[in-house]
Amino acid sequence: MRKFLTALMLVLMLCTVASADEDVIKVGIFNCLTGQNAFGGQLELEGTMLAHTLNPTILGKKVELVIVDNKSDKVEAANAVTRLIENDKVNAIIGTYGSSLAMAGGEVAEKAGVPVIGTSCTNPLVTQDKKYYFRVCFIDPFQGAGAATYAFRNLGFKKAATLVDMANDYSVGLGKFFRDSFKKMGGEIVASLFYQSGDTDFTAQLTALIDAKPDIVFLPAYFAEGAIVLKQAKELGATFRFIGADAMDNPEIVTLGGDAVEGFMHTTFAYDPSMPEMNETAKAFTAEWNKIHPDKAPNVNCALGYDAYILLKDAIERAGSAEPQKIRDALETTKDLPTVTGMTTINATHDAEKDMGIVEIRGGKKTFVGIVVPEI
Amino acid sequence: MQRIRNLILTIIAVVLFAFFLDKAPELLNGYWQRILNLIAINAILALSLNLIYGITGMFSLGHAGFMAIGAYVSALLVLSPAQKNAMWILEDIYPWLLNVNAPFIASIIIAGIVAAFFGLIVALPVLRLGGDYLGIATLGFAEIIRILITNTARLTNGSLGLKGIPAYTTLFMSWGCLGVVLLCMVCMLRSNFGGVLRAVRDDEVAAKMMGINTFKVKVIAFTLGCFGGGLGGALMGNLITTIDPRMFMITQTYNILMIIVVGGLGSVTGSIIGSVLVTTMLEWLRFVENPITIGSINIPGIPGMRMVIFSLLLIIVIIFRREGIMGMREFSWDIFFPKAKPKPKHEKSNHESVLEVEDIVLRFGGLSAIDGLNFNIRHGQIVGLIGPNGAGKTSAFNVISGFYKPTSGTIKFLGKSIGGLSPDEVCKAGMSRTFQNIRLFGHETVLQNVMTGARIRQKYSWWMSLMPFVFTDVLREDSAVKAQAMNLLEQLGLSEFAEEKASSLPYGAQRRLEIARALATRPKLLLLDEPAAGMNPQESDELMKFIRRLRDEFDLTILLIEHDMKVVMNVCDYIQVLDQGIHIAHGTPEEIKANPRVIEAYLGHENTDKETDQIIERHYAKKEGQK
Repeated sequence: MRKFLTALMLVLMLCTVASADEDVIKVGIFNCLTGQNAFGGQLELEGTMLAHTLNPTILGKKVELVIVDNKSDKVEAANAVTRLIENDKVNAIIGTYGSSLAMAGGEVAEKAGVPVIGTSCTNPLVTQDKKYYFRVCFIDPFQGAGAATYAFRNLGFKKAATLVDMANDYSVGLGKFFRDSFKKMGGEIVASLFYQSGDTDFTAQLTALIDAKPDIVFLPAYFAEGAIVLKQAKELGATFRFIGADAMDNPEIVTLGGDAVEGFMHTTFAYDPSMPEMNETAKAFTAEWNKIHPDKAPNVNCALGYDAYILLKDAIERAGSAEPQKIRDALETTKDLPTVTGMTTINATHDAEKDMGIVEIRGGKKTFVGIVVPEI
Repeated sequence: MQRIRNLILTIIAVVLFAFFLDKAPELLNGYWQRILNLIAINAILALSLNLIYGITGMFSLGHAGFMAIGAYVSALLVLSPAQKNAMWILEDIYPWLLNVNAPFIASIIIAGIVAAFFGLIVALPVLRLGGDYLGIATLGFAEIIRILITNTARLTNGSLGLKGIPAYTTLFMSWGCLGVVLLCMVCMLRSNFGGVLRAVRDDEVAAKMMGINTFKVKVIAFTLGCFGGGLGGALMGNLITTIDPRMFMITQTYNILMIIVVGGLGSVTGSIIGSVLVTTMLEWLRFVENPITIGSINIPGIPGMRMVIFSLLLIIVIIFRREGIMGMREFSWDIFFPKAKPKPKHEKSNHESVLEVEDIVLRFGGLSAIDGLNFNIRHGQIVGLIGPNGAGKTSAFNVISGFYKPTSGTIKFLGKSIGGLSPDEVCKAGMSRTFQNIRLFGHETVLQNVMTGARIRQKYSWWMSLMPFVFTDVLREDSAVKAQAMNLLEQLGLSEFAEEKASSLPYGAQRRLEIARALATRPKLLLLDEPAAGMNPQESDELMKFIRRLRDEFDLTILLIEHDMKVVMNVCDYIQVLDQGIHIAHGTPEEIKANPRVIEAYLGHENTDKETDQIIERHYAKKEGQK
């Protein structure tokens, strides 16, 4: 038994000896492929891999993806990034879903001077004081304000409430920025309620919301809890509307939510397969995605994974080199790059400035209803 | 000689390792340096949990909570005011917190102390629970800590967490901390106080009877373990440079638990080996998630594959070595050298004793276990307490030795009332006992069992055992106790077993060992609960001689419960008889044999009286013959 195991280990070890190649650009991907955030991480990885398949070479050099899992765990995230930089000597890194993981990995990359492009880590702290961390997504204050703007300006609601996941940095941040923005525009926040990730009974909060009589409730939840909230609200006969954020952007929302999600809105990136006027990049992405995954519609996570690669490709081409430092400098000057999720410009804080979209469930279908410019 | 040799070898090993750490930045890339750092931190965490669970036997699932406290305390102390200002974007930070600052080393020590403080607060109510209940209670506590951190945003920045913590955890820092923790822990576990910890794990009841305040010992071990948890958490935070409440979920505790179970519950060496294995394996196995090409076969990478393989390896370890890699054993340089045996010294003692029991009543609800027990024992007497099954003999023992509080009545020991004292206090007053069903510290050596009994006579405090080279009393007292224990073993004919595990001894020897352990507390009164149980006639003959010898050599007064009439009638100077909780008779063996109430209650019918006489006569005849 012991001999057999030793032999097996030896074989496996030999298999891992990688060949070093000068003419290869190595792109590390660290994302949550297992653990609690695996759902988002895997979709993003698929998006990045699609972009790689379509653009296998940059500057005439072959691009090699090195994929490591961060298990949705902070310690692992820091390990994974260290491994990419020290062992695999990658030129740049793409990742990750989950801001806390990005922060753990970002610290390592910052010290080593390797640029990282975040996919959907939306916490403002991720790029704060970081020279090497960028992202293709917008940040929580932007999105919170976007939801408020849409509710106040486009829908004309004057009374709003928030229902926030206290244990989730994303949710807490969005809730605060929504309230600030909504009040600034002249609206009234009639209730601000909380729950904890993993809760399954929201009737107490919903009853309080019904009593407070808001026009709209901002629900920056993850899909697991968000779907239950909507279902229980319907059962309690709530008449106010709900608006969520991009974490509620799930291809299966209608199949899972059924009746209860009808009329639900959420902010998202300016991409959805149901968009009427898609830009060229988005059209190409959707077509290629459907070829490879005929039974699965793409969502924003796939689009962001794809866009991160496009952003990197653009920077390397403009820098004319795959040297980490030069990639970093080029990334900083990205302007009006056509990506799946609209035109991307990297601002001074390394966040992507881009349009924000609103999706509504109408007649059992995700419908892209328009683009919002948030009033911050 | 042996000690000096081992010390030199240890110093050489430490110097070599320090040299390696010094050269590590050149030898290893950043990735392996990080792993090396994690090994040290995991080892600190594993050692601290092992102290609580493996060594003292308290099943605690709260380690992640104490890590969280440590990590936050240290982070809040080392972050600069400017960083704090920038990070609290949702709610404002408490103004006083903004300027609180401490150097890194101070911050991790404070982190440990704060965690230990919380540990103490938890321990006081919770350690009254045992086993699974303790596990649930500590699990709940860790969850409370996490939720508190999430909800006190002005203090902790809530679910956003903290970032930009300076990466102070260098290799020398983490391994230095591990070195200090390891040194203190090994010293403590090698001292007699360490033996006490293991004794509490193996048999809490017996430990109490050895004069040990087991609750206090458990609180100390738990608090020390929490200090380690806080320290490990602080180092972890300063290595990862960012922390948030979700980092400290129950899975964090499971990871540490896994390390100590794989390494061996109760083994310091095991915890170190476990943390090396678990930390490196998890990282090293990453390659199984990459696409693999063997010859012409292409296996695509599967995320999560390494966890599958890792779990399989764990299962294999547990199947083939249930007790973990090291079990309860420890590394010692001695394995490279043949053994030498220490020589014991001699010591003597003398004192006097009296027990007065007056009108003892013990009721459990409506049931009277004892209803009015009165007797005196004079110095040097051997007194028997007899009665049929269920007469209340063992209950009387439990009342006298402090396990039960009498419903009414007084017990005076050496002129002082001991009613209401706990077993350990009774023991300190000078009384010791054995148990009907032998209660030894089974995993410990015979010698350690006896040494545990001597702990109450040692003067050094538990904290001195952390630094025995500073507080040399520890070494001196321990070696004195060891010599005394060896002496006792020799007197009781157990010295050949000294280094063997107590549970591996033959039955008769276990009985004698229990007595030896009781004697190590230097009692004035010894209570023996059925010493002859399970012995054949020849063995019980020896036992009778042994009990008399005990009285003479150790200047003891003895109270014994026994069913073996031959033993009772021969060895006792005086006999007390109980029947269904009622004190029906007392007197010399002759009087008792003639007492009709005793005969009726205990022996059932009159013939037995004659039978007993015959047995005794035959016995004396044999004895005469021997002379």
